[in-house]
This record gives sequence, C-alpha cells and structure tokens, in this order.
Amino acid sequence: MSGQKKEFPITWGMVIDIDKCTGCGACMASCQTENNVEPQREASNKLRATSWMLVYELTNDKAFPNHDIAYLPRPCQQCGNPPCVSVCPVIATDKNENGGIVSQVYPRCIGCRYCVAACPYHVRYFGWYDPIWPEGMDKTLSPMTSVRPRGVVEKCTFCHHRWTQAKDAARVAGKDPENLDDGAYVTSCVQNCPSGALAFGDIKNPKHKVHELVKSPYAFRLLERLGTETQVYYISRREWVRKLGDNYLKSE
Amino acid sequence: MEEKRSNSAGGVGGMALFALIGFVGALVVGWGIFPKMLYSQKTQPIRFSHTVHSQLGIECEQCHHLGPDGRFAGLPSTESCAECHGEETGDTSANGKEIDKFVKDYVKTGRQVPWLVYQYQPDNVFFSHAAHKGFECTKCHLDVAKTDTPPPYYENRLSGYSKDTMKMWECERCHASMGTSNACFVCHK
Amino acid sequence: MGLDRRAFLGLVAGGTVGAMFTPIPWKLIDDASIWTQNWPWIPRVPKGQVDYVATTSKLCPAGEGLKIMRVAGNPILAGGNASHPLSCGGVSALARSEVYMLYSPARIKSPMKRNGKTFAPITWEQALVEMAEKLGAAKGAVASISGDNTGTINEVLTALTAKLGSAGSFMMPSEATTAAKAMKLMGVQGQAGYDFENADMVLVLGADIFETWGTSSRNRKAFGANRPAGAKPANTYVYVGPTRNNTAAVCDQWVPAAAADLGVVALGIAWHLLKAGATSNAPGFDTFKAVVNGGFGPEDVKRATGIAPETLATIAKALASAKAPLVVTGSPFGQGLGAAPVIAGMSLNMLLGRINKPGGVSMLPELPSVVPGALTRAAMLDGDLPAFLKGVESGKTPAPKALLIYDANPAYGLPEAATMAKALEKIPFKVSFSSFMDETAALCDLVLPNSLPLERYDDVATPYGSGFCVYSLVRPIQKPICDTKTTGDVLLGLARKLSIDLKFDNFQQVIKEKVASLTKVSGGFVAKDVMPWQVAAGKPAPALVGGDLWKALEAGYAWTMVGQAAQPAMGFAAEVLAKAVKAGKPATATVLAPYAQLRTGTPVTGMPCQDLTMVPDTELKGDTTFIRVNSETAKALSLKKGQSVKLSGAGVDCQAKVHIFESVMPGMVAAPLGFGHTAFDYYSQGKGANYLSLAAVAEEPGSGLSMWIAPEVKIA
Repeated sequence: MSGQKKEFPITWGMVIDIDKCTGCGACMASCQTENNVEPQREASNKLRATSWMLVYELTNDKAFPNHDIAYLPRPCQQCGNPPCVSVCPVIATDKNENGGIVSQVYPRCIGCRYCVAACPYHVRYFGWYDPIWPEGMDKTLSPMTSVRPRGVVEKCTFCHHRWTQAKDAARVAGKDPENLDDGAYVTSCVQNCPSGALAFGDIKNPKHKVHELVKSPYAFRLLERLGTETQVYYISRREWVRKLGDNYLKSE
Repeated sequence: MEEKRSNSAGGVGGMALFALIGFVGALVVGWGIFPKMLYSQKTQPIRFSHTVHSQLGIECEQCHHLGPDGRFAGLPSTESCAECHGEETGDTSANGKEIDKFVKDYVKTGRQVPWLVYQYQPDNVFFSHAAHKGFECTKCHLDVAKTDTPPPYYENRLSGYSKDTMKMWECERCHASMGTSNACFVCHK
Repeated sequence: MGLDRRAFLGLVAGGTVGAMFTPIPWKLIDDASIWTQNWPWIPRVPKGQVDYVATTSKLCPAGEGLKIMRVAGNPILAGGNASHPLSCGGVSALARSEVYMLYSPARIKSPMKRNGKTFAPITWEQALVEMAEKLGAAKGAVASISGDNTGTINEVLTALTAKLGSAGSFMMPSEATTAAKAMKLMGVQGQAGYDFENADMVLVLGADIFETWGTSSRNRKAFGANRPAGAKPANTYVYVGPTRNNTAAVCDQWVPAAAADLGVVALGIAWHLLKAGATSNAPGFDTFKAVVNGGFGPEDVKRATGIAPETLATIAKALASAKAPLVVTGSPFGQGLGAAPVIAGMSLNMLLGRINKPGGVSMLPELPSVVPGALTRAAMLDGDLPAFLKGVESGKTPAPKALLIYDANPAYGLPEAATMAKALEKIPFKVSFSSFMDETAALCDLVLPNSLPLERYDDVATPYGSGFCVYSLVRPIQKPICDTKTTGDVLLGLARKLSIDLKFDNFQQVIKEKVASLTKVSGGFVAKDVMPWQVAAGKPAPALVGGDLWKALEAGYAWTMVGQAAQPAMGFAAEVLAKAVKAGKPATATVLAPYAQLRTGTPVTGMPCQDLTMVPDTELKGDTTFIRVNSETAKALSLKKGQSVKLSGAGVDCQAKVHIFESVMPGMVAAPLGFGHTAFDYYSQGKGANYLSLAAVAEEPGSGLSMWIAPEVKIA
C-alpha cells in the first residue's frame, strides 16, 4: 500500500444523516436504474446480488424495550487512500482525477477480484451473471452508464456521469466547470431521497453545504482507523450509532 | 556430395528469394488487401446532401447544436427534419425521390433514421462536445459539410465500430499535449 | 528451381517477418480484444436526444410529481419533481419503478377472454361487444370496485355502474376509508388533511407515515426539512405502535403499544390533557370527558397497554406546550383500522385546538365532480367492501350479477383472502381492467388491460393525508407498448354501446373538464414559487391565471388550495368511543403485526422488478419470508432463529422463517406484506407468503366498520 492520501482541489463528498434515514430503499432503486444494474431475479441471494448502494440495518444489540435500530446507506466510500487501487494488477481502478472519485473501467477489468477482497466496505461487486433485462426493458437503459458484461467488477461511481454533465452545463452557461454551484452536481440517490437524508457537494468548497456538515461533532466516517480517509461522512446524534462506525475495544 | 552442396547453396539463394517474395507479399496483403477485407462498406440509409442544405442558408448549428444543459444534440430527430420535409413531394428528380423515401419510411412511420455515425464511440466512453468547442469540428469529424452524397461508412467486421471512430491513444495523445488530465473517468463511464 | 522445403520455409519466414511490418497482427489483436467487449447478448445503451417531461406517479399511492428523462422520446428514468408539493424532489422506490414497469413481464399484452382455465386473446371490439351484452343482461345488479383513491376515473366508473343499476360501488379499504368513516361519525365533511410542514410536535398513533400512510414522500420531506443534519431538530416526532417500523426508526421516541390499543393510548393522553384543564365547546365534549375519566386513567391504560403513566403524561405535556402539535392516527400496515382510534386521535387535536390551524388538521373539500350521476369520493369511501364480500360469501347479501374491477386486486389485497375468493367466485361475470396479470385478473372472465400511467391521461386529486387540496396531471409520454387502452376510454365506449349518456366521448375530455372546473374553485392556485404550506402559515396565495392551468399542469406543477370546507363544528362522537375503545386486559394470544413497504409494491403492481434487490435477506431468502419476533416472545413460543414455522389464522396457513428482531413488542409477530403472490411474474410469484390472508375481519362496535387491525395467529 502506498499509504498516501491523495489530495485534489475538489473533493466530492457525501454526508448521510443516519437519523433521517427510514430505510425505505429509494436510494437503492434510484441507483439501480440510473446505473443500469439489471433487475435480479434471485436478489435475495446477497452473495450474488449487485447493489452499488446498499442500506444496512444497524442495531444497538440490546433487548426489547431498549433496542434501537438505524439504517445506514452505503455507497462507495471513495477513499482518499483506496485499498482497492493499489491491488489492481491492470489499473482498471484508479484514483487519479480531480474530485477524488475512484474510477472503475469495466473493459479493462480482468475480474481477478483482488479489489473486492481489499475493500473494507464491501462496495465492490463482481458480476456473476450476464445482465439480462426482461424483454423490451433494455429500451429503458440509461445512456449515461455503460452496461457491464459478467466477469468484471463494478461499484458506485458517485454518478460520475452527472458530474461531466454538470460541467458541460456550466461550460455552456459560461460558468467555471471547476467551481460548480452547490447542488449543480448531486448523485441520483441524493436527488431522489424522500427524507432528504443525503447531502452531496465539494467538501473543500466553503460555498457547499457539506463543507460545514463534515465538521459536525456528530459526523464520523466508517473504519476511520484504517486510514482510508473516505469521502463519505455519516452523521448521527446517537452515540451507539457513531460507535458502530469503527471497531472499538470495550475499554474505549 | 558436391551436388548436394550446390543444391544446398542454390537452396539458400532460393530460400532468400522466397523469403523476399514472402516479405513483399505480406506487405502487399497487409497494407493493400487486409484493410479492404477488414472493413465492410455501408451507405447511409438516406442520401442526405449537406451542400443542398447549406446552400439554403441553414447554419450547421441549427441541427448540430449544444443544448442549454450542455448536451450535444448530435443529429436532428425525424421530427426536426419533418418540420420541412413533412409530406411527400412527388418530385421525380434524384433529390426529390430521396426526400420522398425519407418521408415515407421515417416521417410517416414515426421512426428515427438509423444514421451511420462515423465517429460513434463505445458505450463506455463519454465525450464532451462542450469541453472541445474550441476545436474545429473537422479536427475529429469527416468534413461532410461540402458533400452532396455522404461518404461511405466503413464498419470494422471484427469490432463493429466505424473506421473513423477515434482510438483511445489518439484522445490521450491530444490530452497529453494540451496538458489535460488523462485520468480514466475524464472519458470513461 | 521448384518450391522445396527450404524455399517454403523461406516463404513462410519472409511472410511472417513481412507481416510484422503490416497492421495485420496488431490490428487483429486490437480488434479482437474490442470484439470481446461487446457480446451481442449484452444490451447497448440507447442513443439520442435527451429531454425531460413531467407527469405524476399513479402507481405510488404517495402521488409524487415525476420528472421523466427520455432518450429519443423513450422514457428512461423517473425521478422526483422538485417543484411538485407531494415530491419536493423525492421519489419512493415504487414511483421510481414506473419506467421499468412499462416492460414488466407481468403486463397483459392484449384484451383476453376466459376460455375454461386459460385466457384467449380477443380484439377490443369483440371485448366491447361481449361486455355490453353481459352487462346489459346483468342490469340492476352490477357492482364495481376501484383501488384508485384519487382519480377522476372513479366518476366514470361509478356513473356507469349507477346507470347500469348499481349493486354497490366500492373503494378498496385503506387509511382513507377508515378516516372517512371517522369524520362522518364526528359530523364533518371532507377529507382530513394533516399539515406536517407547519407542525412542531407530531404524535403518530400507529400510522406508518413515512412509508405507507398517505402522502409518504411529502411527509418525509416535511419531517426532514426541519431537521438539519447534526443539529437540534426543530420538530419532535413520537411514534406509538407495535414495532419500531420505518417511521419509528427516525422518530424521537417509540412507545410500544399494540395496534388494537391505539384508541386506548389516545384517550389515555386525553385524560392527562383534560386533567391539565383542556376543554372544548365542540358537541359531545361532556360525554367525551365522562368516557375518558371513566375508564382511561393512567392505571387503566397501564393495565391495558403496559405503558407507564409517566410516559403518557410526558407526551401530553409536550403536546400541550408545543406551538403547533399534531396528532395523526392510522394503521401500522395501511388498512384494517377501526374508526374509533381515528376519532380518539382526532379528539386530541380538538382538545389541543388544532382544527383548521397551521400545522394542524383541516377538512379538505372534495374537488367538483364533472361526470353526471357519479358518486362523490365521500360516498364511495362510505362503502365497506370486506363486509359486502363477506355478505356475498355467506349468502346474506345477494351476489351481484356482474363486477367491474378497476386498479384493484381484491383477491390478494383484502384480509381473509379465502373468504373473499369464495365471494368473488359467486359473481358470474367479472371484468378486470388491470394492467398486470394479478390474482384478481386471473379469476375474471374478461381482462381489458389498462394502459400504464406513462401511456395514458389520468389525474391525482388530493391523496389521503395531504395537508392541502392538490391536483396534478398524469399524461401519456409514450405510446402504449402493448395492445392496451385507457380504461376511461373503454368505459365511455361501452356506455355509448349501451346507449348510456355519460356526457363525454373520451377520457381526455373528462380530465380537461375537471381541470376547467378547478379554475372556478376560489382560493386555488398553482404551486410554483409559493407552496401550499407557506400559504397555510400565512403567506398570501397567488392568483390563479385560468387559461394557463392546463399548461402549468402539463409542465408538472400542481394546482393546490389551502383551508377547509365551511361546515358545522366537529363533534367528539364519544358514544362511538364508549362502545369501541375499551381499556381491557392485554391480549394473551399471539397477535400478528403486519407491516407494509412501498418497495414491495402495492397489490396492484406486484413486486416492482428492480425492487427485489432492496428486500433484505432478513425479510426474504430464497422463496421464504421471515416473521419477526423479539427474543422474549421467541422464548415463550419456543422459536429459534431461522426456524421454519407455520402461521395459522382465518382458516389459512402460511409458511415463514423466524427472524429475531428486538424492536417488536412481546407477544407480537411482525410480518411483511406484499409477498406471496400467486400471479404476476417471476419477480413476485411464489416469493414468500401473503400474511394478510391470515387476518380475520371483525365488525367494530359503535361504527359497524370492518376491521382487522390485530389478528390473532397460531404458530406451530
């Protein structure tokens, strides 16, 4: 591992307010159709199913009535120091672009799954099956994301195609594509969340809402002590939820 | 023994000669015949004349424009073409017949014309026209503006892409020379 | 000099070397590698011009406005519409699926007629002739069922049914039917509307307001808007119900209470409010006070529900001291609640003075009807479908000779499924207008598929739960993919055939007339820069520019109106409460606590195909669904994690596996709804069990309403 955090002038980040997430799954539905993830017949086999965005159920492990639950939507964490990139033998995944989004180029991927094993967040999915849409449904595919054949690894890209579009829109409007307004580029899950639990923007841009949100005393990142420096932040006012963000010893 | 040796010597000369023949033959096949075999030639479904339209004073941007959201409109839809060519003309000239063919096959059936686009990129490539608008269109595209008959479209029999589809190294070379990033996600989706 | 071996080797060697100086090997390797990237069975993405058009979700009961992305005119993605008051940019998992559903394998591709056990395709003309003949013969005994709570189509359907001689026009039971009954008993007209946007303390009694109750997407937006991330929330939400469901998971407090006890909890809180001096001059207040003080003191409530007296005292205090408190009552699974708990919950709003106030409850007027002879929504909601079908099954009610079923799946979506199926069997001629091959369509004699919402004109008028009157347009943005027709057009065509005058020739005219009638409603405006909740909070309503209304609706804006219908004062209906709400002993039997989620669709849609991925494997694994019990209940019933069990109730058995989940009350078995379809496609069929079929229907004392809020089950 290179052990170096990669810095970019723009750092796209997501801030997820766990206290507002009802666990409805609208983010997952938004993600799947936006990114051409095929409807999977045997989706209850979670070892084989693909969901770039996945809602986890968290519990404080207490018995009724002290039990509490929370829902944690998990996109790719876009690590500042991604463990998946250093293990890729063919540079099919890289973190080399302004914005800090970890790329994944499907035709280049050889399907070795080193990255799947390396990712501590389980965000990477191997395509076990060729994607099949029911008859005619391929007419509804989104032109913004390519379709992956089986045998390659895929993952959340922060709807990167929306960024390229936002930049184009800025160019045509005569604005600076490297200094987008807050909200000009948001991911599909963020846009469609009915609870408004998800926020998105440039963490380094003081004009963007997330710039302040990540400084909240209630903000945390997943497995921070691994040094992955992720670009996804979670917010919860519940201490037990924050404690689940990393592996703590009993004494901590 | 001697005969054998001379045979052998002549054999070496023959071998060299045949090697030369093989070498030259391979060059001829490789540069002359192979490219012709690799591509199948296709013609556009409708013989669209750019010259006729530009002579009418239609600006290129009227059909090939950047939308307000930054998306390049690409080719006009059947509906846009039908704004002028909504009905069959009955004109028996070559151009008239072609117009009537368009109206009959596409306007009346509501289908889009399956134009063969010389530069179409694979699904996993995103190309931003907005980012490249400082360049001349013909830097990448065939100069079709002055053609009365669209040039033939050469389809690679193996890969299925157009002969004129730009390769990744070409994109990368220009990006490198311009100092633009060559990161994967700059172009891939 | 012939071609000997050496010469041949020379030729090959030369050729090989020569080939290295040509593009042959390099180009072939390159192209072959590209060839492997594009297998013919991997679909290519569409190319073409991208545009966005607006419509409204009709498949999702929350009625969100949608922005549909199209490529070359084909719909691709359904996203929330930020300028629509019921979406504010949000969209449910179900509404998101509207585009994919166009190509659902469960779609009915053409009109069909029963032929023994199977169906045979017929033409629309044949279907119309057949239907006209059968309905003509059934005159005087034609019934209809609609599952659409919000569409003007109901006017066409009920007017036609009435002209044919109605044996009853029913709405599928829902939160709206229960609330309508409660409002009627309280002596008021209109639909209860809840202003979440302006409320600062919301007590939720049972209702799964963030998932299945009413305008759930808008409810969540209203909830989230006043809760900035990481900061102190500007509103407080308390949930009372049997499980910590999706709503309770984000509320500030969960008070475990059986669904059967929601009325008791409400009256228990009323006791505290009355003690603190709350009063009202509404009719029936004295009786109400006597009822509450007579049996709903803290100890009574504790005995019945197990809720500690100080818990309710604290809630009562918080409600009384809040600026804009609001109490909302509903069923944890969107149906089956009696009227009394809603009355009890509403009486808290009355004690708190929250009727027709910002952040309170308003009785929203019905929008003017346009089809002559149509039933009003209130009249439709007054019907009791489960009671009717039970009567038909037992022979107490004469079976109708013909039944028209629109946007409803009573063979799956009603409790006591076995009884309901028997009742449907007794009706000799049934027509389904379903778009999908659902359980009910499979029982029908004629199936006349409706075009999907993205293919037809339709409308959404004030979904239940909305805090304001709202009207938005559903419009076709795609030609019908299959041989389907808009049912409104089919019904109007049928009326013509039967020489019945319904005033309109096609359904688009009906919608146009409806929109035109809105311009005459005073106080209505198009929500663009000013949203209805801002008007409720005191901002002046913009004027409506009449001529542009259709255009504004097409552009995805909603017509809205704030405020309630002029009417007599709301009464307490205390006599109903006295009969129906009893602080008795807690149930000793095992009680089913069903829960529903939009991601598993509605009885009409089945499981939206890409939503199956969203279902966790603690809910569905393979083809088995899980019930949820806490460890205490598991111990008492000797259940183990992952164990296969059989649930029995209402004469039906269902299979399940056990999932231990601590946020379920002791003695309760939480069970997901939306599974166990026998019809539809491979995404729905055979996935788990339909636990709603275990629920037995009972009659609520005092109101006579059918209810199935807390069904008892046996586990073996």
